[in-house]
Amino acid sequence: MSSPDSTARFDAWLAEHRGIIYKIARVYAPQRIDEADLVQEMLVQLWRSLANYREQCRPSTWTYRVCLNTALTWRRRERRRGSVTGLAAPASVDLPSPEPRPGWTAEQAELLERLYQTVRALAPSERTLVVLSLDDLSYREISEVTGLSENHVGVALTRARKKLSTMMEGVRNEL
Amino acid sequence: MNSDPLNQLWQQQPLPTAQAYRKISERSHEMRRKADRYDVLGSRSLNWVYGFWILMGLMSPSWVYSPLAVFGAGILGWKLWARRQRRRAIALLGASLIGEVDGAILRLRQNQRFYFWMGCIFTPVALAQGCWVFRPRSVLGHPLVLGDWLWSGMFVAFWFGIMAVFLRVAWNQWKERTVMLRELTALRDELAALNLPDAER
Repeated sequence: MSSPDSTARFDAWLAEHRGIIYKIARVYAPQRIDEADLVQEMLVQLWRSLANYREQCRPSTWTYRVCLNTALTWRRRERRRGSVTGLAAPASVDLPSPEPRPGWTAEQAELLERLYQTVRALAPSERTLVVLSLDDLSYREISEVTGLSENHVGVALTRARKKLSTMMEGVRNEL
Repeated sequence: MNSDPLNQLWQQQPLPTAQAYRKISERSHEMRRKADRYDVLGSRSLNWVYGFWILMGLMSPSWVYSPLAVFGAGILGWKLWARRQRRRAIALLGASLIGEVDGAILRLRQNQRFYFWMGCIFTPVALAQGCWVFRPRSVLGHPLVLGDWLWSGMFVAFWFGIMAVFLRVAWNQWKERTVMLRELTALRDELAALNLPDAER
């Protein structure tokens, strides 16, 4: 896939779904320095897979599926392997920061940061469900992304959201 | 949009620009292509050398060249096996870009050492053959005739050729590895340059 058409399609896809890439990288990379590697991996997988997208599901659902699978594979592999070149990346290496958003307050930014921390503290299976539900995916769509049955998604998600709400309640009280 | 305030906060969060991601994506592809190009487990032109050894070992009436055939077949088999293993690993596990570049650099280092030591082994072989072939007339017992020069010269050239090829490959791989390391550092620097100050996690 390297024609101008496919490049334009990829650019448009990236503009529309960059939020998914950003959120999953922040949730699944253990440190900010790892986010760059994970983002690159997701971008490469999206580029490779985009040619096979046949509108069998919503574009956002499909993007979630590709990015989540990539992130989970990446985490599994990263746990097993250490860097072999010994090239320690400088501490400043990071992903591009988000664009400032009008009306976005420091309090909201702090709350969002704590939300990310709370989501990362959840068990891996709950984390996936919570991330998808925070973006308003339906049970059916979550089931398509994760491969779980809708009933299972419903039960597990209710439990995970309850846990998240309790943890965030504590955070709100702190703030 | 869901009325849950957490969902609203999540969905309204500021995001990096698409251009920034596009830049990372382009650089990733460029690096991956380079990693693929460099990760060749030895130069393809060397396959001709190994192939020639096999042919020589099989065709020569002398048993002296049989080990060459075994050796050549062994190296070719190892190269094919290693390439297959790598493809399988990539297919099964997926592959991170930085991981692939790291892996390519490691393999270049291993290959470079292998070819360097092979070159070192063939150097005394070539020198010994040269000394023996062009030994003084008093030792040889008769003057060198044109046939001696041609036939013996061919063997000497063969051994020196092999030595030169191994050392040349080792040198090329050393240069490639240096370039790879520089580009990996440049990639990380580029990522750093895209960054704006952000709170450390």
